[in-house]
Amino acid sequence: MNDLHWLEAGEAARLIAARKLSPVELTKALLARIEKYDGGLNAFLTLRPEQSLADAKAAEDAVMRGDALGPLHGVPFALKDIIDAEGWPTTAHSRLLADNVAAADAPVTARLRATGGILMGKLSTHEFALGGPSFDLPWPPARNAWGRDYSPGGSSSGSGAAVAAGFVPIALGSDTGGSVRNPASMNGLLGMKATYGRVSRRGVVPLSFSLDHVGPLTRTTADNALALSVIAGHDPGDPGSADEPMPDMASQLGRGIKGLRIGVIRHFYTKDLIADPEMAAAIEAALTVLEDLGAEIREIETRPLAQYAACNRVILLSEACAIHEKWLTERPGDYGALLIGRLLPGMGFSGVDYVQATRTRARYAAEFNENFNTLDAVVTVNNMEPAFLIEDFEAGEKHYPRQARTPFNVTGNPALAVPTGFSSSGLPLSMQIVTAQFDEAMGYCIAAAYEAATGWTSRHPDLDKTAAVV
Amino acid sequence: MAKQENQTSGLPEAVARAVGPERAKKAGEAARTAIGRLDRDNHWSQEPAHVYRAASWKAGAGQ
Repeated sequence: MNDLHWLEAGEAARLIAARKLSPVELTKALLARIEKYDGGLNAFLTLRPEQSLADAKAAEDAVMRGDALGPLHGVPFALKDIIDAEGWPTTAHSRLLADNVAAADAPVTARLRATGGILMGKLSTHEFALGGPSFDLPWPPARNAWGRDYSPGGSSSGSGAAVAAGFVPIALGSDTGGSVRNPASMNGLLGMKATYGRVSRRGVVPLSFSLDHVGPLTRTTADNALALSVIAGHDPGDPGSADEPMPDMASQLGRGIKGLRIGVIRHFYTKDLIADPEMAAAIEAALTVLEDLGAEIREIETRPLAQYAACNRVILLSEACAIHEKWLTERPGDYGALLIGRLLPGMGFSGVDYVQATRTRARYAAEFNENFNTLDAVVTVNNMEPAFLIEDFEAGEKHYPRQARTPFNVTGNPALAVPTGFSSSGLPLSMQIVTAQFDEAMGYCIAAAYEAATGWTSRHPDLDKTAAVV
Repeated sequence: MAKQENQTSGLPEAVARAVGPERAKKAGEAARTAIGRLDRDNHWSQEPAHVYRAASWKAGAGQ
């Protein structure tokens, strides 16, 4: 079988269950691809090929015995290196945790393994899911699979690079101010930040307790829905976890979008910030596609982006500083410069500022969710521009605030990054589909219809050109 | 130990000393900018966002 590296997770699981594909063959193919190309992309921090192959062999034995198989049986996946896997390092890409080894699987890891997934490795991240891309850490930063001179975004940088490069079909990331949806945007992937509380964060190095989400990055909508359905579920060990039933996502994907009412927040990218013309044009073209598929498009207005951003920043940095205060005082030299620069302002906030931000958050969430009394979904921009050159520090600093993802960390709504094509320079473009609390299925339904109509997700980078170290 | 504030940056003195005056000053300026953008009101009520949940007192909650 050719091109095993572009096989969807769901399709691979079906072929494995039908004894048409060996999990060992699939794992070997992906390990060979990682071996060949990851020197140019730095997506992985830790690989254990022998362990992954042993797990694949066990999966193959289960198939041959006729055991009951889970939905990801024999399918490789990888984890952002803030998510625990028993016996594997969890470094958060930082000197401070360089020797940290996880004692147990995080519930999300356990769920992926319990459904048959094969852990391939731990992935590069911005330091502690905040500071990056950094060149002053023990490991180099991940690079973009569509062009290694570009950043893959972050903070789930390795997750974006690994999936786009065909190293794994599913990677998990985390999203506190957009860190799943940013690399999804910059690597041409689907990236889901589900409802706050939908996915357990236990066993995941925290950045901000009340804003952190764990979510999947994949190349297709169907795989993303599949991955979320596996990792979602109530966890009494995570105080933020919600006890809400998870609908059958797969049955929602093909239902079409005729008659759906979709709002568009244009002022985020035409007034609050001005998006790159190609990014804005791609969203307008996507809206036309959705309209042609039978959806009704209505423009809506919300609070300006800057208000959401300020609320997110005060909460995120206050909580992050509570976590890092001791190390900031005792081991500041062990952090990378970018992390220190982004984290430190949080030490200047007062208790009053934090409480005001949390009160503001509750009000913003209530206001925003009123939209779903009359709408099925909301579409808006993701990043304001495509990927920036990774070694251009100024471009990186300019890039990170120019986005429209933090509103949905503040409100807690599901927000799905969806590829909308490519810039004239060949870099991926993206939009977000935002839905009502716990209605991730609606976002997937719209994304699946759009994906089928446009085919953007069937394009892949040619790593011989894009990942080559010149 | 009482927390002392650095006069120049507004950051806690121990942190300002650990990271150096230049970084602390820059961080203090960034903090003031962020706070200036924060939406504030003077409504008061028992809001879910700042009420400690009674269930949290239960032994073992969140474990």
